[in-house]
Amino acid sequence: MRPDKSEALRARLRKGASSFDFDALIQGVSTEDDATEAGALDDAISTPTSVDDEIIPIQIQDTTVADDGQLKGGLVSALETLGVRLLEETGKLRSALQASDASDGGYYLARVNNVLELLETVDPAGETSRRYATPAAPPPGRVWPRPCWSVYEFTESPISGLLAADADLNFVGDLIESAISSPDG
Amino acid sequence: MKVVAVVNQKGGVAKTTTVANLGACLAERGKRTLLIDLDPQANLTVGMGVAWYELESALHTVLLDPETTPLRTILKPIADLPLELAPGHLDLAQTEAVLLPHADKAYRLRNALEALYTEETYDWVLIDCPPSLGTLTQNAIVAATHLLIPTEPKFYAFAGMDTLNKMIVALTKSLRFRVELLGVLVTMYERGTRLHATIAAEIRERFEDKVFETMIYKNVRVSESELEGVPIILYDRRASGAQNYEALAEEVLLRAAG
Ligand SMILES: Nc1ncnc2c1ncn2[C@@H]1O[C@H](COP(=O)(O)OP(=O)(O)OP(=O)(O)O)[C@@H](O)[C@H]1O
Ligand SMILES: [Mg+2]
Repeated sequence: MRPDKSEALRARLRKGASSFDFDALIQGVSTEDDATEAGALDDAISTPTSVDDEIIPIQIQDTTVADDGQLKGGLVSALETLGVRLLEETGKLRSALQASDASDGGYYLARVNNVLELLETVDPAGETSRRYATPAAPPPGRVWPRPCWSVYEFTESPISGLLAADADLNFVGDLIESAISSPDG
Repeated sequence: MKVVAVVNQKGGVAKTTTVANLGACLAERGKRTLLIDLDPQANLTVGMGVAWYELESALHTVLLDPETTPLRTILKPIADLPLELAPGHLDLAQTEAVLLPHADKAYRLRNALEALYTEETYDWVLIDCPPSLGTLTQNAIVAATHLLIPTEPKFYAFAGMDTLNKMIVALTKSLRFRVELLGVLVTMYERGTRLHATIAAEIRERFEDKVFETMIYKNVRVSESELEGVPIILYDRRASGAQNYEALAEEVLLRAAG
């Protein structure tokens, strides 16, 4: 790297880094003696004091038996949560793409990808989502769209249908670059 | 006892490598050390030579039902060291989704560890997090006393740590925990790369003495050792990667004492 280029990089980094906030990390955090902020959850979670209290009974017996009623309950509500998140993030992705904002678009694309990755792990064929009609369940005969982390995957994916009419391949390139470098990506 | 969550939502920044090698170095110095593989990819487990797919119970069973499977029952001894591993499993991905609706979902690991501490004592517990900021990573942060953040000297490092900072602030609104930064660790450092030197200097400028003096240099022997299923320090002690982790262990012990 030439020295002037290196200086420019330093300046850019400085500018970027100064807008970031690391205070909680650097100073550490504690809510343990804090009665107000985290108090809301006290009913649900008691800080354990003895072994008996520490063991919170769980409803789920066996994660591999998909027909187990209680697991189904847990899985379905997880799929519902993920489905809602998918709809939300897709909505934001669409707005960014319609505004031709590759940087924001990449950020939301990364989040859409992350939700799709999770959905694919817990309900690979989308069957459970379909059966329980959870939000954004894939239609019959279809599976979840593949997460797209490359220009090729994106152009092949139904997600590219969200692009603005005048979007070109350069835009998609910028979009993917932003998605890959997104903190959520 | 120090409980260290090795966390960074970015993939491939050497979280797992750091847990494996720092853990082995601490154990070699006589510290009783427990490694926890919270990642559904179970790379740490494989990297320690344990076949997760042959296990009937692993960390996912503990998080789902600690009464039937206490943490103690899944621990595997590693090498001839005071080193143990709580193995991960692919089903942890499913566990994350199943736990989502539960109010205590972020406290499962801490509760399991506290039950273990009533019977066993450790000097160090190192938790390998998945590359995400989901429920599993929240479990690690809530269970931890300290955070160790490995990062590559790249542009995204700042944005990534800013996001992590935001998440920690957000967690303080709903969870009871106390955690402090043990340090930021620069990994995959390439000697003679001006870009790396520049970014490492900026990280130091921002985090000051919270950045470890030790940097982990890129070294092919590290990935070789991973394939062999042993930490680099047990595979090739003279490799630069091994020496970097030895130096890190010394620095970590100094920080813990200071
Ligand atoms: N110092 C190093 N030199 C060369 N290769 C390294 C070094 N440290 C780690 N690696 C290799 O880089 C890859 C990523 O490392 P590692 O798995 O530790 O990262 P990670 O942050 O745990 O990734 P993930 O987010 O996927 O869990 C691995 O193949 C590992 O062997
Ligand atoms: Mg890993």
